[in-house]
Amino acid sequence: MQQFFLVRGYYQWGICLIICILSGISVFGQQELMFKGTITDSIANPLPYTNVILTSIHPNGATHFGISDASGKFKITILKDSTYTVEVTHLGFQKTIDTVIAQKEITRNYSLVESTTALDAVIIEQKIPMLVKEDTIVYRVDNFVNGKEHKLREVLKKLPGVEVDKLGNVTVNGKKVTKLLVEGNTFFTGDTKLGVNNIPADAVAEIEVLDNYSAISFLKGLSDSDQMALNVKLKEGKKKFVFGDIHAGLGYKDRYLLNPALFYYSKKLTANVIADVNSIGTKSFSMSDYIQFEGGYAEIMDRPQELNNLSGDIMSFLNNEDVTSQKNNFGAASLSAAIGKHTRLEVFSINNNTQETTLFKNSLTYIQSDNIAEVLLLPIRIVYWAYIKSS
Amino acid sequence: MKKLIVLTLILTLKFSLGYTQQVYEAVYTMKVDEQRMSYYLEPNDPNRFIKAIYNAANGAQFSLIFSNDKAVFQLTEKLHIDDMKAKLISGFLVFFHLSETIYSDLDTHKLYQFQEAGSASHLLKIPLENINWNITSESKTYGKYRLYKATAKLKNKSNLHLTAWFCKEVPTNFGPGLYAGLPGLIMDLTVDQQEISGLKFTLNLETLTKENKTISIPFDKYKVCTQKESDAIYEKLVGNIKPN
Repeated sequence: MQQFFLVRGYYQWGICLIICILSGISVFGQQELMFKGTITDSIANPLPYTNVILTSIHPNGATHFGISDASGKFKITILKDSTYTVEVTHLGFQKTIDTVIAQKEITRNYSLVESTTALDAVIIEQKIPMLVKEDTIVYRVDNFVNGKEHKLREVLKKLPGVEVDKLGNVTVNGKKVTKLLVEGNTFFTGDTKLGVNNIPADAVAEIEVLDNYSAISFLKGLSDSDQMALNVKLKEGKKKFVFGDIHAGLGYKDRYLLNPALFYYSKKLTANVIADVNSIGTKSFSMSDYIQFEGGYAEIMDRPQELNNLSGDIMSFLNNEDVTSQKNNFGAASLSAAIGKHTRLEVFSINNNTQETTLFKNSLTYIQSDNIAEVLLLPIRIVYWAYIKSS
Repeated sequence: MKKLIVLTLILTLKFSLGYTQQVYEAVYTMKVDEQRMSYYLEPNDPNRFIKAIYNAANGAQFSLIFSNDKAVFQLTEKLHIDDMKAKLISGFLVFFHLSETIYSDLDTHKLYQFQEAGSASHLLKIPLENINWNITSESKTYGKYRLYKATAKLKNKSNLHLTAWFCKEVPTNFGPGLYAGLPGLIMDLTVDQQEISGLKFTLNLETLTKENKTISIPFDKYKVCTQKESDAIYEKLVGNIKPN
């Protein structure tokens, strides 16, 4: 008995299934219609190879399309009782949008209007992450970073072959970077430390490493230089940025420290202000900064008179770290402005006023000897003795 | 009469100005399905030639330069692509009846495949095939653009299944090589030979840029052959290798 019911149960389901399938067929068996027409341009010339796309307004509806032939004619089979959005597109022409309700055969003609910039907006550029060209390596930063980077330092650390030390010295494939450029212009003094620790990471689009760098571009390739430069290319829209930080501190017994560093960067104008006022004995302007400022060791070696300077007062002053008290008032400002296509005006000033107190303690010990007379008399005695002997 | 000449001159000038060709270049990267390729590799005797083909073809870049009525699909001339590598890649393409350079011309409804046969090269002329694409309602985003999925089956050529993602915003009928005819540029394409020994590859769009190039089919450099003539050339070549 039970078995019979079971079979009956299946039988009922079977009927349901058949009804479902039948109703399904009636849906699929929708009548087909023709949608045709001609496409011309604004001066009534037939426009071949034009796309006519019909998208059903139902989210799961079918999409039909046709391409116009040499005489500009198109023919598309569509389903009856559906509503379609018609898109007529052609390379170099503006898109035309229309709506069609399919009830009987439809003939529509479209004339397209030309546009010269229709496709410019859809250009896709997904560049190769790294490019090696002769002695230039280009890194497309977006392919290496995850967006959590704060400064240029963290970005550089993620690039293959690039190393950054604690101070901000950069080496690429084991060779030290001697010059930092932003958009092809020397960044402040060209020292990497400043830029590496200060340029915001999200402004960087590309990093170019230029080996055998020469400031004069047409000399490149003719002469081998030891210079290696790092050129930071900025993102569109991030070509202007202000960054900086301020260190401030106060301590026991007139100890204080104020160290603001502010930078403004744009393609036409760059301005930098760095100040350092402190009484905690930290040098604002060290010997290595001075050498860097003079153009590096190699530059100085070429000018013998500079060597004299190095061994002179400046040297002893800048190198002196043995002080009882020191007050530093340091200020540096630089301004670089483009005043024409090929001309840049660069102004900078560095002022350093350091008051140092140095304490020398000399302790002299004089050894007093009692037999000093004895020592003095000795030659006389010898002479006297010799005299007696001879006589 | 003079006025008429001037008028026609102005009209033709306007016509030629109106049809300033916009030329674009799309660059695709090829990915080859390694698992399918391994069908040809015997486990105990690794076939070096097949492996070399795989290594060359995987990651190869192709560029599609297209205007309103003409297109060229070719292997990108890379700085360090050597002749051997290019030959291996074209060896892979032979499985799909493709060659390293394919010219399409909508005006004459013809495709021209560049073929190298021995020392001579020629252009194989074949009719532009209409692929019966079925556009599905599936879509995905690529950058800021919406791509729509279309599928097609090519029964005559080793049971090819095509899956293409095309972009309506780039209204061109061209696509990579033989696989064209959608109302928008194909940005992702999967070509799958659904057979036991079938291979599979995908082409993904990397860049799309506006170019200042003109597209011309080098009829002056190479002879145009029909399929029959091309087959005869190859038969002769094979005959030279195997004299019996």
